[in-house]
Amino acid sequence: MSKADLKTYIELDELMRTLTTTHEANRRFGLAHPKLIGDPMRLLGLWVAKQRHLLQAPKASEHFESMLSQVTALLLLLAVVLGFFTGAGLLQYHGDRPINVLYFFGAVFVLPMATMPLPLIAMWRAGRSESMLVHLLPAYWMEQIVRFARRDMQMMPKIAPLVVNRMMIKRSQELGAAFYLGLLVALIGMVASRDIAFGWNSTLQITSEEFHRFTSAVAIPWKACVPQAVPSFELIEKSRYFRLGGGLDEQMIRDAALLGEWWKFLAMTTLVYALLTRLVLFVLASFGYSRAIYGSMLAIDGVRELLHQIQEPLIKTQSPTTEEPFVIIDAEGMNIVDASQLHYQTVIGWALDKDTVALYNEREGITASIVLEAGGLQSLEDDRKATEDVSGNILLYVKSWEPPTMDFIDFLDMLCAHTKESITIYPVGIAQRGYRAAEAEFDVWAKRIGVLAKSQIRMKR
Amino acid sequence: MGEEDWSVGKESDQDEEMSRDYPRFAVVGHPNKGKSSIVSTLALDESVHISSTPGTTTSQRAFPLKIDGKLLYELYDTPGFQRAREVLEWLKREDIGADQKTGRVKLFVDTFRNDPRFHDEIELLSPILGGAGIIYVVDGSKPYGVEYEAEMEILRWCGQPSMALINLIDETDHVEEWKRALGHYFRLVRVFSPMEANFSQHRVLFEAIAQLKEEWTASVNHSMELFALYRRQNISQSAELIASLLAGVLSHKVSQPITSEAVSEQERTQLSERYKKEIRALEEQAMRKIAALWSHSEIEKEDSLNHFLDVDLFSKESESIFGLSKKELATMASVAGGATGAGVDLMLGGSSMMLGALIGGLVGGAGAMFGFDEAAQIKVLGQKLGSRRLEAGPMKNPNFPYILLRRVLYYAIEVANRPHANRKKIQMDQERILSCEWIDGKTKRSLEAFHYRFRQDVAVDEKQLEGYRDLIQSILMEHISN
Ligand SMILES: Nc1nc2c(ncn2[C@@H]2O[C@H](COP(=O)(O)OP(=O)(O)OP(=O)(O)O)[C@@H](O)[C@H]2O)c(=O)[nH]1
Ligand SMILES: [Mg+2]
Repeated sequence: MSKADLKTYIELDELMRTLTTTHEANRRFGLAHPKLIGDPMRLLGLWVAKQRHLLQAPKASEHFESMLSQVTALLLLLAVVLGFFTGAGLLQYHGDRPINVLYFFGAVFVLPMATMPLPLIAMWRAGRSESMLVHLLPAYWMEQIVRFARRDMQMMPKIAPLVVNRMMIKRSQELGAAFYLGLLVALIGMVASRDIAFGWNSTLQITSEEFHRFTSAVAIPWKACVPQAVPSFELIEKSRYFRLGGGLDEQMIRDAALLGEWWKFLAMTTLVYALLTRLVLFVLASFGYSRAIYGSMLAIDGVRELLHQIQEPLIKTQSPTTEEPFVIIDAEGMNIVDASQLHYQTVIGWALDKDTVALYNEREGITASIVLEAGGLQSLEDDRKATEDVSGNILLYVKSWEPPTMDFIDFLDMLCAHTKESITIYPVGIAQRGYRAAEAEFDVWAKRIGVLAKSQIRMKR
Repeated sequence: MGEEDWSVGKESDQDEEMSRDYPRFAVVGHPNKGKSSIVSTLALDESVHISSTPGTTTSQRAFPLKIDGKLLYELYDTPGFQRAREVLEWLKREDIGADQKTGRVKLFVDTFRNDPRFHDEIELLSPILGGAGIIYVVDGSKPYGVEYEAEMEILRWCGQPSMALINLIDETDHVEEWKRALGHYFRLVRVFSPMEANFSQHRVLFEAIAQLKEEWTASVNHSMELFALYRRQNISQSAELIASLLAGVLSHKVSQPITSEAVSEQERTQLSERYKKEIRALEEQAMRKIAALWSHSEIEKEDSLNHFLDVDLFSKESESIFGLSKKELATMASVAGGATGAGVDLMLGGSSMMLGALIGGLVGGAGAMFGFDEAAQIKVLGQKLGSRRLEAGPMKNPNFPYILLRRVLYYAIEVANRPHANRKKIQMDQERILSCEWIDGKTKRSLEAFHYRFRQDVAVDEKQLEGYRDLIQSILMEHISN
């Protein structure tokens, strides 16, 4: 997984709100980057880069980013300076008494160790949008101050609180590191520019042996590689001074070179306990930060869908064309008759054989002088002949469940051309329905025949 | 829309080659027998016009299956035969051998291309003459009739691989007589109901279609795999949408400023109404997205309730139907609990729910409403700061997520399993939804741990949502045929 960055996140957020892309275009983008298909972050990064020019205010994120880096640089500088002056203050040499190493040691060992739980807990709890702990972090407060001073910071793009929290935690580690760097610079600067005698004393009743044991324990991490930076018992013995007993004694002045050795220990402590721990925390925080950005990017409305479109094959089954709207022609009111008439001159079965027609007649009590067949297996010539054989009024049986085709309409036209007598179309239903046409079936017939608008044609229900 | 911009560089020669090879199928038959319904279901296309009026389809329409722009097969919807006898008589006018029959049909099409009398026949024959296999559709719920013979004879003249599909539009059964008749014209006869067909029936049909022509088999089988892939993609995306909905709704809060000293009943009602409206809107939006995913954007639904929250969240019944029993609640508390203190909270939430149930039981409807306010956590904020607000949410009632989850699962499963020929409204019948046994005890316990987190004011991280998504996905996988 690639690293997620804030700029991409902000731009992606903006793009998702303003841009609509087609599934096709997104998939084509995915196909153009076959090697990255499994890497959503890089895909999104590239996708954003490709669409960036479409951003309405393309400068916003850049502006924000440059501002952010300016602020960060400023804060870092401040932290270094602060560290430097703190260090210088702690190493202030009065000439008449040695500098107590415990002060500086406190700043580069006790302070970083004691503050370590804060970022750790903050990281653990960073999921909460209103994390109290984040408000305790130095970066938060420094940023509040800068933000107050620089009005344009106010128009910061809306960033998920999760990301902001993580950003604060990460930034605090940078600031911490910068501060300790300042201390280290101060230490080295002082040692290089002056001849400093270090000593130690404590109001607590600590024996030199105990203190030696303690410093040796602290120095374990570098004992093997930088043995010079581990205070010897001799050094500890000789550099002990008693405030009440006055400042430097003769002996100490004689051992000045030895007492100066303390600085190595202090420098290593700064390096290991202050700087290195911040570095580790920084790496952890960075990891959490990019994960937060990654998570927040995926949480942007539509991004998951976008990724699906980019990464997964586009399967399309639908028609690319649209169907012409279907127009339903409203027919004139159809002349519909009920089972009033029982005798017809001619009865015709459309696509029905004579036996079936006889059956229908019998059921309905209908009598006819002539019974004819048309449609179905008859040829068109047979149909034509049938129309010539008709006489008097006509009953035309049709299957209600078979919709009227043009084949039938042609026949009807032909029939109308041959006779001016009334033609009654009678749609008969299937046997299971008691030969009754379903309402819908009848309507289909009535509508279709109604379109013909022929007064001679009626329909029987 | 740049439909054809897939090819990188010139591939026109290849396209030419392709056009001869890829399988094509024309769905043909008598008017109003469900041709368009079958096409709609097979092509997952809800835009196909289907109506009880014969002659709905007036021209051929192609439905290509494409993966990343690559054509695998093409399905055609066509108008029904109108003057089959006349066409057949024209074809038979000359005495010719079987080898010339296809040519004769071609000649017919060429001769009458501009004759409006044969418009529908020309439309339906052209794809077949262009190489399409024939899928002949009849309605097996109606008796066989001799008028079909002219159509089948014409199709035989076309000399293309063919099969018949018996569609059952009604309950009545004439399948056997149809099979006897169709057997004379078609080697393959299958029954397929586009309105009810599920995915496995779709698959079975495609296995038959694959047999039509040897050259097409591979392509058709591959297409079937793609349909399966498509369904899996959609299932996983549906699960994502459902998971985000639940996470969003469960953490949802609304608030409004209050002016007077005391909070009026009206203000409470107003806020709870707004809260209900907003979660309803979130649900609606998720459902729309799910429908669109399955190409069912036009589908409508009908709710048996005004608002799904109108169900009595606190009744003993709802507790046992869709939520957690007292015992489960206690187990859940210890599962979700641990170091986070969730246990205590759940117990409290639970006991206040029990209390609600008790009061609800005593005073009926009014009690339920009282319970709703409790569960929706309507409370006054900022008492000390001057700007007082009334806030509702997140909903602490442990039953609530299950109502929402069941509803949206039901909807997703309905939409996913619904063939595209079926345009009926989805009935969101509360009784039915709540009686579906989708979530077993074990899943419920896993879900509950997530629901607990969603309710907290904690940004839900991707990893967690993923776990929840997987649970939802496995439920969907089980109930959506794939
Ligand atoms: N119940 C049920 N109805 C069906 C089924 N298949 C089709 N129908 C109904 O039958 C009618 C005709 O369906 P269409 O798909 O439009 O038929 P068609 O063959 O395309 O019709 P035309 O385009 O007019 O030739 C519609 O009212 C459908 O709802 C089915 O499997 N079950
Ligand atoms: Mg149609």
